[in-house]
Amino acid sequence: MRALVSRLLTHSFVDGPGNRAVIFLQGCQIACLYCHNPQTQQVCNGCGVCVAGCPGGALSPGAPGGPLSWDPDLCQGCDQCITICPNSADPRALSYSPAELMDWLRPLSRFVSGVTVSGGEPMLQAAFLAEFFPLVRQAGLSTMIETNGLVPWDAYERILPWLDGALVDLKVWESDRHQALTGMGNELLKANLRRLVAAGKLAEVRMPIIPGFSDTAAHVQAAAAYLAELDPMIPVKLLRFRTHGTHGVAAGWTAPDEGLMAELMEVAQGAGLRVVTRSR
Amino acid sequence: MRNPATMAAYEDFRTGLTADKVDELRTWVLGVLHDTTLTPDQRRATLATGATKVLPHLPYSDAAVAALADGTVCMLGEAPLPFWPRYTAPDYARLLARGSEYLRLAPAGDLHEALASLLSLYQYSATVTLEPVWLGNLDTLLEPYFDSVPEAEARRAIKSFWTVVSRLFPSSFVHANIGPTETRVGRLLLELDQTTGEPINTSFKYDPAVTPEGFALEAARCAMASAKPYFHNHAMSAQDWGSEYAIASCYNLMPVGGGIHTLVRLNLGKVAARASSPEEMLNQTIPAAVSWLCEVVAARSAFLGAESGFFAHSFLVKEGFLQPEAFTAYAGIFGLAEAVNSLMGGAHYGKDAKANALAEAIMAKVAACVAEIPVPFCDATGGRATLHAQVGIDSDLGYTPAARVPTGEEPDLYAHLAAVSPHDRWLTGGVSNIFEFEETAADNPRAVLDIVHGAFSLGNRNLALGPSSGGELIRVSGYLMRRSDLAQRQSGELVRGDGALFGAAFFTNQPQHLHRRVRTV
Repeated sequence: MRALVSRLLTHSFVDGPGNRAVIFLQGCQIACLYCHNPQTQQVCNGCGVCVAGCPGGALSPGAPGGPLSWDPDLCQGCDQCITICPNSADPRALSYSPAELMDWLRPLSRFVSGVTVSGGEPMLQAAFLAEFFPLVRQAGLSTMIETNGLVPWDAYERILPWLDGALVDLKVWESDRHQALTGMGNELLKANLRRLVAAGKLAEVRMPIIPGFSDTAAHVQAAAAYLAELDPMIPVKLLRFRTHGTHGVAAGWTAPDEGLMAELMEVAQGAGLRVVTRSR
Repeated sequence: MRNPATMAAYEDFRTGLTADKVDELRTWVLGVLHDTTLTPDQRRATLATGATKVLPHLPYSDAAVAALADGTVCMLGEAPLPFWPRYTAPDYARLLARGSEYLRLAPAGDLHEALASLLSLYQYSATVTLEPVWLGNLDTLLEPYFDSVPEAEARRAIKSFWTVVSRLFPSSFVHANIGPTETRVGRLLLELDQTTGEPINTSFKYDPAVTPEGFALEAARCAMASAKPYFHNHAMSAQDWGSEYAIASCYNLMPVGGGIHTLVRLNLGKVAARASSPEEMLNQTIPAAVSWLCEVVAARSAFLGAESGFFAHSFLVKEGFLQPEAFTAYAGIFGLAEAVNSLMGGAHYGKDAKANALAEAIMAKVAACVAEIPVPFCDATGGRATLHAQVGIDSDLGYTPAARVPTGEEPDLYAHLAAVSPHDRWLTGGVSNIFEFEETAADNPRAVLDIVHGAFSLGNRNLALGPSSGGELIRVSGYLMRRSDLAQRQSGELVRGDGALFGAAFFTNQPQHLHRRVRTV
């Protein structure tokens, strides 16, 4: 089994408990309007449209039907390939076996509490994680995922025995507004949150405060009440939307101000949640 | 013979003040008297230091004097003849338990008496700054007295004590120790430092096997708020010194009840300039340079131990607060980076494996040479000098403090730690490296501890961790200063304490240190 990896990060202080090594997997089944890494959404289909546009000549045809081949030594990091790609996919994602990822991880292990697999949507590659996570655990490190919660439950079930916790996004409470923001309704997410709590694996719920979608007391009240009923001790973090790094329509949105963030935090606490924090 | 860069115009190694230089001395004295940027105390201290320099130095060999004159060996402004030690770490537990005859202090009966006794003895510290360089392991010292008064009163008293220490001794080379065990006093001091931010140097003696995690997390929070405490590898230093050791001044190790006669340092960058290859550096240049360094250290230690009268007459010794056999002397080094980079011709310390290997070889050789040369009155360390990574002074233009990677050339966090940590096993007299993190690190103190654990596992002895911006306290090199003092001094206003004076000169001469690599998280 191999994983398609968009990016490897040797240290992160914002992706779970302690210092984390983070693996960003390529491919996501939704497309949030405010996505900060849209190049991680689509998987390269090897069509080759971008090859001629690469100034360093780093791209070449790969195996038939598979992604392109990419030479990191020739790559200039200009991102021209993503701009050219009709799907905005990143042809530079690399394929790793569990053992290869462990080779990357081992020298870092003295500095980190564990590994967080993010994306894209990591649960789209659950079969890989079911092989990789046991190796991470054997190395004495913890395992976390950052997931949108919108993958059928059987995928989560496959990795639960080796999973320390899931950090789950709850972007919008109303399903139709969730669909408008991400392209998918959120019934599956709500059900998965309940199942993760029952399994004792819900480490944190992140609620991005998105202008026009989730920046209202009503939204936070409804979401927080649902979570508090599942377990008032679920750690919930309100993330302030930032325009920096957004593309398209979201680049014109205005970040929520301090006052609103403070007010929404009180709403979340008022709804019964005991562990609420927010980003700076 | 004199070093024109660091010595007074009237100073001379061999002759001391000569008749033809008296006018220069008068001019200098008059200049100090009229220096309105110095407080009266600062003028007096400057004049006192200046007065000692009319004397000739000890009779060093011609080779040692030549090395002193060109700055290869440097005495850091110490008096030509040392009359008291550079650093002392009095046994405060003895003071609290037995009182002091000379100071007419009874054994401390409650918290207020304990604090009064400490403040009294601090006033009599015999050190280079004439201020205490070590305040004691304040948590274990004061914890037994914490319940002697109501808790709110205890907290108020310790808070006032912290303020008074900062105001009475603003030199910045005043250093408190806490840990490795958790105490209410230790927690309170970490709490105070997150809010009031007194620029008192503080070290957290940390042993993950002994220190409760919650206490360590509090120390990490404090570091991200106010650039202190240091995270000191307690297991490592307890192995080197025994469990009763002091971390004083910048980050200087010595036994409790002991001290350091003198600190003389070797500019490894200038040593390397005398070598034409790494092999010559290791086989010939370092042994010669270390012999000059240790000659000066030995002569000064001998004078202090046998001729100065300090050990025969000080009440600190008579009453057992200091013990002669707990003393040693420092052989310091700095400019390792320049030594490596000049000898490698292209490869850089911190970034290239070959350069890092040479750095390690240089440190190993220096340590081996220091270990071969007997130094008198260094009973605490087997009659040898103690190797110390000296933190640099404002006039060290072009030479990097201690064994650090130059500011502006710092590699990634892990690579940086891997490059510098291997040296620390030899630097038993103290070492530090500075790492400044993005402000979001404050939200994840556990991640800070992860970095500390990784560093310790690589043999790192001591980490200076802090926020990249925003805090009122800023780590100059080995000590702290207030940002507001920096601005005040740079605009010509009076500031309290040497720390602000030295720090402002350091940042004015070497402004790159205000822009250390920010560790993104």
